[in-house]
This record gives sequence, structure tokens and C-alpha cells, in this order.
Amino acid sequence: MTDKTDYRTAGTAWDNAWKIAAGLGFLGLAGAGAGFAADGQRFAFSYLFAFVVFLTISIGATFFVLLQHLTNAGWSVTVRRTAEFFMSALPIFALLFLPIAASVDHLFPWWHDHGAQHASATAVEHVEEHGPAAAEANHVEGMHSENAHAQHVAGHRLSNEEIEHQLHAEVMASKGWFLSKGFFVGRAVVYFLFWTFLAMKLFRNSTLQDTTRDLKLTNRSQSMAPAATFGLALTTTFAAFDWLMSLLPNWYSTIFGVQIFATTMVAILSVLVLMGYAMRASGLSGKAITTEHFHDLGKLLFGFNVFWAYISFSQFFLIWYASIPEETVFFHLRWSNGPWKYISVAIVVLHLVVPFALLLSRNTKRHAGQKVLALGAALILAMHVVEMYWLVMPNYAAAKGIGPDLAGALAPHWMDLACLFGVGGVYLAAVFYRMSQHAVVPVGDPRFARSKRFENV
Amino acid sequence: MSFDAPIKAIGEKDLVAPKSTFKSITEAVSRVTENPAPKGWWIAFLTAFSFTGVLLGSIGYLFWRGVGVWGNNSPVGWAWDITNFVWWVGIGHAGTLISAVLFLFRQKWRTSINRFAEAMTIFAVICALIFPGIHVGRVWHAYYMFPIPNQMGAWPNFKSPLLWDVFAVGTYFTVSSLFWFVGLIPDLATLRDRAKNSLRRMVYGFFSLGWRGSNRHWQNYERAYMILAALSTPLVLSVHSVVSFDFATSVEPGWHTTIFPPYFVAGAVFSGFAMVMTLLLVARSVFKLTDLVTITHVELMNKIMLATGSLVGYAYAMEFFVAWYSGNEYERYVFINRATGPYAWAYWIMITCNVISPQLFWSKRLRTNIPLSFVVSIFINIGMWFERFVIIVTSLHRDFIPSSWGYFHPTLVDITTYLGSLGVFFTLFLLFLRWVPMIAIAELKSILPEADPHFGDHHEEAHEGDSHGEPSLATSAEGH
Repeated sequence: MTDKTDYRTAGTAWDNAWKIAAGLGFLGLAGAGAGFAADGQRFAFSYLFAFVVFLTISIGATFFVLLQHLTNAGWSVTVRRTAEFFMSALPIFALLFLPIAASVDHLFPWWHDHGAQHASATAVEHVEEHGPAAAEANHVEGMHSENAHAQHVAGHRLSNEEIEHQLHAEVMASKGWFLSKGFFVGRAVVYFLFWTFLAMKLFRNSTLQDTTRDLKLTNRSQSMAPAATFGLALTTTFAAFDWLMSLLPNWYSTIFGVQIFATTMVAILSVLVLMGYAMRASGLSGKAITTEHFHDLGKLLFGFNVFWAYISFSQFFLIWYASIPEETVFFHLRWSNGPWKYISVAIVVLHLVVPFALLLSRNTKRHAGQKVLALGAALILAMHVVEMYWLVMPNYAAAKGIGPDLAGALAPHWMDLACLFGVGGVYLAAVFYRMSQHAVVPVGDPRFARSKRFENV
Repeated sequence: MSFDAPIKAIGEKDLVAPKSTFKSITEAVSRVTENPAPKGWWIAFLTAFSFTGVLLGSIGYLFWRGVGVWGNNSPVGWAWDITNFVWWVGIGHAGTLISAVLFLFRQKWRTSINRFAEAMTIFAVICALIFPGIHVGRVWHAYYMFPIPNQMGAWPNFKSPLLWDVFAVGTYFTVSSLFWFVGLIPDLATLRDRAKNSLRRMVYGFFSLGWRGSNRHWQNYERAYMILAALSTPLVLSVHSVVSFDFATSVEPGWHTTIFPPYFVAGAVFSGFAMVMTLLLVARSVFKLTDLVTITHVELMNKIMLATGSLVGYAYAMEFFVAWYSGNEYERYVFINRATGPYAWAYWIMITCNVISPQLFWSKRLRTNIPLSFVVSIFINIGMWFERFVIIVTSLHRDFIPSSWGYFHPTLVDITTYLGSLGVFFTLFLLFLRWVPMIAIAELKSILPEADPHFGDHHEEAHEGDSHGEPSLATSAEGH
């Protein structure tokens, strides 16, 4: 294969990639649509899983681009455009979010005024059992759940389940305004508006420079990067809280936003390695993406993968060590002796241990055509998909009332795959379409020549 | 001009004053150790040394009377002792970050400040190590912290983060010292070669390990440096993560929260940079090193402080938000009590110093302002001390039941012990300034244009033509 010197996809197989992706996406969405009609609850979880798989890649791409501008990086210029393509399709997730908005009822236990319902239900029971006077007495004593509980034990023994029910209701009622329909939707709108603005602005600054060579565009991206990083960090955190953490509305973890940030970086870096590999193999990137870029991307992938492990471990370890029931519930669903435990172990081994060994050596990042590096990146990307499945799906079993120790807790469904193809197809079609419209490296960047020539010394 | 020459139009700058040469760098750095000490140095040194005496006196009194001489009480069992420990360990982190992480990220500007920061790391860790040793009460049992085989069959609790701390900080001290010393070897040889008397020649000759600057020496040196950098990088994360485990593995509201490990690391780097800034601004003007430590360095360090300060602010906000979101009344209470309770003054000092004051550095004019940088760096040093104080004392002082509520008042001994640890730090630091090259001479030279193999190669410049801020049409320049 001869090297392209214009860095354009015209006349290569890449030019039609978006059509293939769109075709697959259409098939996937058709399947998912049929699933939606057949089993709305399963569809909801399958779709959310597929949605976060690709959303994290796209947000990761945006973080990557911002980090390059934030640090005025020169080395990464030739691979930055690939990240920009993956970033540029971020707005499409606003559309892809619609099926989630349509099935929030299935996904989020708090959506149907859970707390209020429980609270009123308990109150009614209470009044029925003890008459209005007892309920009044409770109220006077401050209505702490413990007080209520003590009263119950003295009079009529409440089952553990009922107590839990009531505690749950109180907690949910106390954060009702945050986990409320209007605010939830309002927040989502804010995230998508911000992400759309960011992705379009950064992409335009970069592609415009291909022809204008205007240095001001570099300055503009560099000067917006710090505030944009702030905004992206906050929106990503709260999106993670809204769409993933609140699946289990009683559970909380302060590190959760950082954890999702780590997954976005790991995802995009493995994508960049694989895309670079494919582009080089087909000659599309010419001589612009060199061994040095693979070496650096490999180092970053290795580093962020360890960072991801560090954050994930911190979350697990602190919750395990303190063993507070409100917090352990998350890992109870995933580490109990049941099918999910195998997935958890697989994530530790195949997302951390094996890639660690594959990517540690300088040789694997520089030699043998980066085959080992690409293998490591592919493994990490595959495990990224598994990790997102692991984050979302145990909640489906919980919603169905299937205990985590039962074989049925992990029940893969054809809809998982349909949604993965549906969301992935649409997203990648948008990415590859953008790719067919622009040079695949930022030829107008003032640091372009430097990036092509830099060496790891 | 070399290929990597800064493109001024997109904000790239020279890393040292353009007139610097190999010779001027060696001169500027070496002369500090060769000329007689200025009078100011002696005043500072004797003051610091007196405070070292104050520390010894305070510790002696503590050993004589017991920890009752501190303000620690029940429920506030940990107070200034552990606050000081965490503060000092944190300060050390900037050194490791600059020398290891910035090295791996090819941040060449680090060469002007890394030696300085690494020395600070070691001295800060020495100060930190004093406190766990003396806070145990029965100090003659301090060796229980180490897993030493003994006839009583008594072993430390390996499940306790306090023990991991011993290992983590011990490893950190060892690796940091090695890293610092390896980096020093070529520069010590420079001092040896310049020595004008035989004692100096012998001492520097001893410590420069027979360095001759041969090609083989440099190859081994660079490999060792790279390996030590790679070993130090996980230490940047691990040490303060383990320190955070001291708190976060408990079930204490205010201590137990999952964000603690990365939050402590960010805070450590933040406070370390502030301390580097404080010391560096004084040293560069006293010893006339403004050509080597330029306003660009000050600006870049301020940017890192803005970033890490904001990360710390993010962590404060997450803690507060999730304490509320958890619905747990004790969690909620601890945070509301922090902000509005009897220690609200400490909390708002922390927020003002750590979160608000670095936000000034959004402005380019302010972050290149030396006096302001100095003031903000002092603010951050204070704020980060208060952060640890707030975490430790406010979480403890109101236990789960109101009968276990109290308030902590520092005693005179608390204060003298803390001031004394500053004395130790500055004593060691001032000795370092006088006897060791405070800027990495050999490393700094490597970023001069002269160090480029193509230095003076004018043909290349004409061909590539990107050094004028006029990007070349790379596709044609490469001549595919």
C-alpha cells in the first residue's frame, strides 16, 4: 500500500466506512426497536449500556483534545485529529439519548416518586396498625427512623424488610429535589448543550486551520482549554451520577466521577492506538504517525490504565474495608458468589493484569510493528465494553428482583448486541463521515512539522 | 535555531534567558557554593538552627511529661501531630512530581526547578517522619511500628493502614534520596573540578563517585535516571494514597469517603508546588538566578497550582455534595458542622486559601506577578495545613453522641513543636543551598540551543522554515 500524501480518505476504503457503520447502525436500531416493543425494561438497560460505551469514548476524545491544548502539546498533533473525529460526533448523543429519556421509568427506581410513595405507604400502615395517636407520638419524637423503629419493636414487630423500606423512603424523600424528573431532564439538556458547543468549537478551530493556517485558531483553542476542561469535568461527573450512579439511588461514592473520567481516557487512548494502527496499515496517515507516536500513546494508555485501576481499586477497597451497608450494596451486586463475580474477576485480569504485562515494555510499544501494543489496546477496549456492561446490567437483575447469587442475575440478551450495533453504528457513521470530509491529520497546525519529526529522547 | 525553537506566535517561550550559555550556567550555579555566604544566609541559618533547638527542647519535654503536654484530648485524639505529619509529607510530593512525572512527560522547563524541589522533598519527609514517631506516647515502644522479629512474638497489625504508612513513607524517602543523589553526581563532579582547595576536591570527589563524563557514564546515568523516574512515579500516587487510607478506611464520617486517595494526592502536589514557589522566589533573587529561573517558570508553576487547587476544590465540592446526596444524617452533619460549627473559621480559611486564592491565576497578568505569586504561595501553604487540620479535628471533635463532643486548643508545646519542625526544614534547606548545586547544571544545559546536535546547522532552518511562526506546508517540505 502506498502512503497517502494528501491525508484524505478519497479513493480508499475509508471513504465508505461511514456507510457500512450507518448500515450496521440501522440494522441494530431496527432490532433494538423491535426489542423496545417486546420488552421495554430489558431494552432500557441494554440501550443504556450501549449508550455509555460510546459516550465515554466520545467524552474521552474531548478530554484528550483539551489536554493537548492545555499543555500546548507538540508531539500529539498528528494523532489529535483522530481524537477530534471521535469528539466531533459528541452532539449526536443528544439524539441517541431520546430512547433513554423514553425509558427512564424502567431504569431509575426513583423516577416514580419512589420515596414519597414509600413514605406515605408506611404512614398509612402505621396509622392502621396503631391508630392515629401512635403516629402522632412518633411525629413528636422527631420522626427519626430509629425512634419509629423502637416504637414498632415495642408494640408490633416490624419485619426487617419493612424497616429497610422506611429508611429507604426517608433517604429518597430527603434528596427528592435532585433526583426529580424536571431537574434530571434539565441537567441532561445542560450537558448536551455544553458538549455540543465544545465539540463543534474545537473541531472547527482545528479543521479551519487546515486551509487557513491561521495561528490565531491555535491560540483560541489553547485559551479556551482550561475553562472547557473545568466544564467537561463537572458535566461528566454529574452525568455519571445521573445516568449510572442513580441506577442504585441509595448508593453513593465520591470518587465515582473520577472513575468515569478514568474510563473515558482509557477508552479513547485504546481507540487512538487502534485507529493509528489501521490508518498506518492502509497508508492513509502517510508518514505522519510514526513509531514515536505509538510509543507515546502506548505510554499514556499504560499510564491511564493503571490510573483507572488505582481509582477503581480505591473505590472498592475503601468500601470493602469500612463495610458500611449503604455502600457495599454496589459491590454486593457484583462480587457476591454468583455469575457477576466471574465478570468482576475477568475485569481485574483482562483489563489490568494482562494489558499491564503487554504494555509495560518499551519494545512492545516500538517494535514488531506495534502488534503487541495493538493487541493490548484491543483487549482494553473490549474490556471497556465489558466494564460498562458490569456497571449497568446488575441493576437490571436487581430491578427484576433476581438476587446476585442466582444464575439468572447475569442473563445476556440479544438486545444488548442490537443496541451496541445501533448506538455504535450511528456514532461511528458520524465519526467516519467527518473523517471522509477532512484531512486525517491537522496539516495546518503550526506544530505539525514538529510532531512528524519528534523523537522520544 | 533548532527545530524545537519556540513558536512565539502561539505562546511558546524560551525556557532560560536567551543569552545563557553552558559557561554562564555553570558559573551562576556553582558560585553560590563557592563564594562566602552572604550575611543574610547566616541570619537565616542561625534563626532556623535555633528553632531546631526549640524542636529538640519541645520533644524532650514531651518525652519527659507525656503527650498530655499537647492539647490532644478525647474525642480529639489526633490533632496537630498528625496534621503536621500529613502537611509535611504532602509538601514533599511536588519534588517527586517535578523530578519524575514531569520528566516522563518531557516537560523540559522542570530542569530549572527539579533539584530544588527534590531537596525539599527529602527535608520535608524528614520533618514528617518526626511526628508519627513522637505521637505514640510511650516513645520507647516506637519500634513496634516496624515488623521486627522479637521474643514476645508481638507483630504489628498488617491489616492496619498505619503500618502501611511506615512502609510507604519509608520507601518514598529511600527512592527520593536515591533519585536526588543520582541526579547530583554529574554536578558534584563539576564542583569537584572547579574546587580550589584539596578538602573541597576530596569531599566532592568522594560524592561524585569517580564521574568522568565519559559516554559510557552518561549512558548508564541516563538509564538509571529513567528507571528511578519510572519507580518514583507510582510513589507520587501511592504515598499520599496510603496516608489517606489512615483516615478513609475508618467508618468516621468526614474521614471515610472514596475520593480520599486521589484528593490527597492532588492536595499534596498543590501544597508542594506552593512551598517550591515560596522558596524559589527568595532563592532566585538572593542568589541572582533570574536568568535560569525565569518568569516563565513562575507562570507555569502557577498554572499547575491553579490546576491542582481546582482539583482540590472539586474534591471539597464532591465530598459536600455526596454527603448530602447520601442521605446519611451523620455524614451531612459533619459537613454542615465544618462549614458552620465551632471550627467554621478553620474551614473558611481553608476554602479561601486553597480554592479561591489560586483562582487569581486565571489572569496572565497576575500569574506573572512575582510579589503576588509569593503571597499566594504562602496562602496555599497555610491553607493546606488547615485542610489537614479541618479533616482531622473537625471530624473528631463531635463524635456520634453529644456526650463525646469536645474542642481542641493547641498548647504552647504544640506550637513550639510545629515551629521547631519548620526550623529543621530550613536548617537543612539552607545547608543544601550552600553546599550543593541548587539547580541541575547538567540537565539545564541539555535544553539550551547549544545542546541540540544541529546547533549552528543553518541549512536545516532554511529548509524546514517553521521557526518563524510560519508553518511550513509540511506535505511538500517532506517531499513525498
